[in-house]
Amino acid sequence: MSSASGTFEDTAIDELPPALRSMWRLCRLGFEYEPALMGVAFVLTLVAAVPDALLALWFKLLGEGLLEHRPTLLYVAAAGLGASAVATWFLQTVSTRLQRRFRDKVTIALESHVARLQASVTTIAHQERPEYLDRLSVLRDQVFTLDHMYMSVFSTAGWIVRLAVTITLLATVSPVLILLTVFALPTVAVTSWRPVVEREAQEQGGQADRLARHLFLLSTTASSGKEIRVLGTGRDLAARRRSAWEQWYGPLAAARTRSSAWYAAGWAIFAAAYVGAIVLVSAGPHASAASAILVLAAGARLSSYVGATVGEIGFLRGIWMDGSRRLAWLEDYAARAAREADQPAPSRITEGIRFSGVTFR
Amino acid sequence: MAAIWWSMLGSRGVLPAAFSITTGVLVAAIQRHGAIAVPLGIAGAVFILLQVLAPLQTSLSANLGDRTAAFLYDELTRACVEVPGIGHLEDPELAADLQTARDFDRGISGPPLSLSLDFIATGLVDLIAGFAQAAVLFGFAPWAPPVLAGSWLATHWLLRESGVWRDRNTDEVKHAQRDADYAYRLAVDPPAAKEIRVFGLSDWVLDRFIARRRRLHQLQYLATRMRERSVLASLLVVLAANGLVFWALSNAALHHHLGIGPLLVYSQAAVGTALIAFGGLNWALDGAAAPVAAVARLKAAMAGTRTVASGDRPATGMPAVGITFKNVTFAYPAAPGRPVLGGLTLDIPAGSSLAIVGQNGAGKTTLAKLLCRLYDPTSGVIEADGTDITTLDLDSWRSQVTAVFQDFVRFELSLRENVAPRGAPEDVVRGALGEAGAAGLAELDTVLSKGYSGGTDLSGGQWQRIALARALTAVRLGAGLVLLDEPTAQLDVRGEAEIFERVLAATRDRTTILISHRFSTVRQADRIAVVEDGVVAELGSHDELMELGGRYHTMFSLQAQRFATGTPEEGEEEVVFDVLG
Repeated sequence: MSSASGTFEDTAIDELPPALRSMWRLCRLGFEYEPALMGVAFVLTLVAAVPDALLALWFKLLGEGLLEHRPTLLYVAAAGLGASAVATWFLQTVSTRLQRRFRDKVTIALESHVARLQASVTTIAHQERPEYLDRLSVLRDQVFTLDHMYMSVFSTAGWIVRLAVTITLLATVSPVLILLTVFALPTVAVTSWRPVVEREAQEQGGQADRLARHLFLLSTTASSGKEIRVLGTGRDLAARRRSAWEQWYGPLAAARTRSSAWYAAGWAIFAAAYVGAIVLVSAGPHASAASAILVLAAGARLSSYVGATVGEIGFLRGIWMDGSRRLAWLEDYAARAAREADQPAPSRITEGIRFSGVTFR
Repeated sequence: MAAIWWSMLGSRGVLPAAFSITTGVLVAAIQRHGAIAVPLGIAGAVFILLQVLAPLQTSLSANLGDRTAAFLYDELTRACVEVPGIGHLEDPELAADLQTARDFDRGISGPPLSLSLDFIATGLVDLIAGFAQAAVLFGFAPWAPPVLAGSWLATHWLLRESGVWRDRNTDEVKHAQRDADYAYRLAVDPPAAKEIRVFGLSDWVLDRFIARRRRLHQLQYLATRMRERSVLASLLVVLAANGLVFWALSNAALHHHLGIGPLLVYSQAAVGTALIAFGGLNWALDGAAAPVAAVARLKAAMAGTRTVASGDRPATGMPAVGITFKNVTFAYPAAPGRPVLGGLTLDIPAGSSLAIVGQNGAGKTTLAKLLCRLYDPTSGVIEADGTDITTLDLDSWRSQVTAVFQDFVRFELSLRENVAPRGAPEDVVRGALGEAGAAGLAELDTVLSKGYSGGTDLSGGQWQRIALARALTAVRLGAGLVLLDEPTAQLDVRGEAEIFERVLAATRDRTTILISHRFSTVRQADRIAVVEDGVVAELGSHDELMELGGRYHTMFSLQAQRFATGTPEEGEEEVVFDVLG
């Protein structure tokens, strides 16, 4: 119901809703639209993660089969390797297709949902005021950020399954090897820190980027093209565009290079720990080639799994989650608008229309 | 940067194979209880490289992507600004390409290049890594690499139909795409927002969108769905090849042809060969290559529309005698069969002011464009002091001309740069601002946009005064021909008349041509030309034309009647009737 003091638009634009809650709302929405496809796609993503993670085990068994002269074990391990390689490809191919099918169908539902929300709010402030336009521009022009979030969540779950299997395998050799994950923490920390640093650099160059875009549009548009030719400033504008772009790009490129150097340093720490783990299983009194094989294979996979998990979470936090927060905000905004305008409209105006102390800005 | 990117790509491609070999050697050393320091060191070094190169390349890809995008934007900017006319910018055939190329790195139709390059790198690294690992298998058996690599490669071929939507350019697809996009834009973009609500059209728009979008998806699904036979065939091929290679490896190991080290090397290589199926030229390449092709296409097409060429005679001091249009005919390149001007002849004495009136599409703005040499006449000649302006050096001629168009440029730069884009002494800038009634709008160094630190926004009317100040600056710097193409449409009638009075005073000794719909302004000009059907229908002073009792008299009387009932204030909405329409 409308408040006496004004409308829901009077207040400054709200903060975006919390990330995790927004993501959960989007997941629920996806499930509402396509329950079967979403369920199957998710389960298949998890199943597809298993054969790849089991490769380290097959390598270990292969080594044991040869070194302990157990032909059956050797054949089983070799078959396991071949089957894992094929199953990884097959399950990923099918799972990707199912995900795509789910994504395509849910995209239509989400686009309709976004369009319905935007078109059904009774007022048009969200389509005219710059701060609202900025907030909704991602939903207007890049709805794909919403359906990509599902893929990102699925992938992250898949990588976590791989990590769990791999850590379990390492623990069978020695529980100490679980500590390898601790050495992956610097990379996790740097991954959280990188987007922040890079986004700050990007935002600091926002004005230069805006100017570069403005000059680019001036230079390439017919309406401004007339005057620019008469003024004779075309080449100057092109040069200034480049210079403004360099002002935006320079600090950003430096920030990227610095953050990637830190990231690489984090990986170097993990790599050193990995070498240490190999020394542990190959140089000790109970050294065994089979254990070394497992650590070599599982350790190497652990690093790629940690990297992929962390990278996917980075994407999820940096890009995909943002879309879900904006959608949650729009849903709240539309719901509030509907709550505050719940009186039926008169079938005909009998007394007239009165503006009473109306202020507008 | 590109060379480093490719080197990294190659290195990342061969490192997995190197890792397979070094780990095999290491395990063999462990098994022999031999010295492991060297193999461990090498394996460790390879592993470190494997780990650190990927993030370094991601960062390099982002920078290279941005630089590539900047290069493409530079190319496009240069292609647009270096053509002296504007036919290429107004060509409807190039407009769609240009619009797409303008937005290619905005993340609208796909990821920007800074992200795409890393996706592309990943696909290529996987492919190289797969082949490199397959190459390792030559050490085991010469038949193994072709069998295994061939089987994985075959999956690309067998599943090719479901990988790419080949028939996406059919009329039906294009129609559904365009219609869905149109309905979506109606629902979410500002222009239609008011009417959609007032007329209650939101459900209609949404139903339309959903129907078109579903049809589009259905078409895509039918074209790219996985064919069971292809999937089964792929599965059988890779199962057979992997079964054969791993059976041969186990057999060789059991018969003592392979020790633990080589067995591990070849097994890892055999598993790693599967990367061929995952790698390749992925979807990102398609999106990233499209703008490169579009820019190349546009560059060639724009260069081909170079219809305006510079002469070599100086234009200094022109026009000192006058401007003459001699039987000028002109049709826009996109509509050669519909001439806008059809043999127009007109003399404009230097130092006089001329107003041009006429209905929309009569060719008023075209006259201004021809004078600026944004186009050249299809036939006939425009002379300045008896010299064909196409024989004049283009820069020299344009330095004698200044123009304010209805859609004048609003530079998001300082006030000073808006008034004097090519620089001018401060007193000239301040003087021009004063003459245009824009003194005190802002400090000279204030940026005229709120998107910048310390920037400010101006109203439409204020911007028009800035645009006039820009023209007056050019006059103070020596321009002899002033073209005003409805530059004050956002001012009220009184405001426009006042501004034009100021402009006429400031350009007293220059040749001024004014295009306007408002007769209260037009009447101040020395002479008025009524343009109809591409020719001058009436020409004379206000009094002469009123006395003539022709078209001008009719138009003026109609507008005068309307304004006799009162005029709106500046800033209020005002309807200007095109009385010739």
